[in-house]
Amino acid sequence: MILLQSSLPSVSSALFFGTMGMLALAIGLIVFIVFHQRRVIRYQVQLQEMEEEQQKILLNASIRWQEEERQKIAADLHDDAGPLLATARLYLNENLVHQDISTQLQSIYNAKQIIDDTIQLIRNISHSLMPPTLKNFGLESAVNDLFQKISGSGVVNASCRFHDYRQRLRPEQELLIFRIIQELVNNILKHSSASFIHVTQNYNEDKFFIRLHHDGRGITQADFDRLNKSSLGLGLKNIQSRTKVLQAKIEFERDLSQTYFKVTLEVPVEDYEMIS
Amino acid sequence: MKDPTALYLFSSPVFWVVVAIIIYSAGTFFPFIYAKNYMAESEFFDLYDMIHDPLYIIRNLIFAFAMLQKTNSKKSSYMAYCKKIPKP
Repeated sequence: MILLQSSLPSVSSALFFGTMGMLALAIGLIVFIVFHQRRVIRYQVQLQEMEEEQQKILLNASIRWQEEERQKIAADLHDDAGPLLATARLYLNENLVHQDISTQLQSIYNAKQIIDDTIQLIRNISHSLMPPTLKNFGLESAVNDLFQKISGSGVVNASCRFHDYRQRLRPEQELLIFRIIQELVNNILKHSSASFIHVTQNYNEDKFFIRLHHDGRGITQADFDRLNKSSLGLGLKNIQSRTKVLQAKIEFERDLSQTYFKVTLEVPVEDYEMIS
Repeated sequence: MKDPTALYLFSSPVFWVVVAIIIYSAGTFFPFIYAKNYMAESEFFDLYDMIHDPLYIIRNLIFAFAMLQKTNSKKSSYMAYCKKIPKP
C-alpha cells in the first residue's frame, strides 16, 4: 500500500500522458483514413474525367471520319459521275436526229460507252462503301477478296487464313471486324512499306481472334495509346471506337524476333456455336 | 468501387459508430487498466472521472450523430412510403 501511495504521482502522469498518447493515435488513425479516402475519391474522379475526355476524342474522330467519308463520296460523284453523264448527254442532244446514220450510230456508241463507265464507277463507289462479298459470303470471302486485290498490285504479298470460321458472326460484327482489318491494312500500305501482310483467324474459348502480321514499320501498343490521345491518327481512333463497340481488345506489338509487327484483335462472341 | 459517391465516409453511420468506439476505447485504455489497483485513491478517482466523463459524453454525442445520419438516410424512403399511401 505504501508502495502504491508513493507511486501515485507517477501513475497520475502516466495515466494522463498515456491517455493523451492513445487519443492522439486514435485521432491520427481516423484522420489518416479520411485523407486516404479523399485521395482515393479524387483519383477516381480524375480517372472518370480522363475516360470522358477519351470518349469525347473518339466521338469527335468518328464524326470527323463520317464527314470525310461524305466528302469523299460527294467528290467521287461530283468529279467523276457528273462530267461523264454530262458528256453522255452531249452526245445524245436533239441535233442527233438531223445527222446522218453513221454519225448517229457513233454518237450512240460513245454515249453507251460513257454510260457503261459511269455504271462501273458507281458500282465501285458502292462497293467501297459496303463490300457485297461481306454481306453475301461472309468475312472470310471479303478479306480474301480484299487481299487478292492487294496482291494483284504485285507490291505487297497479302494472304489470309481462317482456321475456325465455320459459322458466320452477326452481320454488324462482321462489318466492324472487316472495317478494322481494312483500316489496319490501309495503314500498313500507307506507312509501313511492308512486303507481306498475313492474317490468321482462330476461335478459342468464346473469343474470336484475328491476328495480322507484317514486316514493315509498325506501331506498338504505346504508340497506339499515344496517337489515340493526340489529335493525329483519325484511322486509329476509328479502330479504337470500333473495338469499343465490339467490346473487343486490340493489341499492337512487335514480335520477339524483332522482324515483324503483330496486331491481335480479340472479339468476345458468346453465341458463336462451333459446328464440328 | 467505380461510383465515388459510395466512398464518402461522412455520410455513413457505421463510420461514426466506429470513430466513437475507437476514441472511447483509446481514451479509456489506461484509466481502465489502472482502475483495479488505484480506484480507492481519491486523487486517481478525480483524474479517472476527468478523463472518462468527457470521453463518455463525446462517445454518446457521436453515437447520436450516427443515429441522426441513419434517420436522414431513411427519411427519403419513409417519405416515398408516405407518398405511396393513397389520400382519402
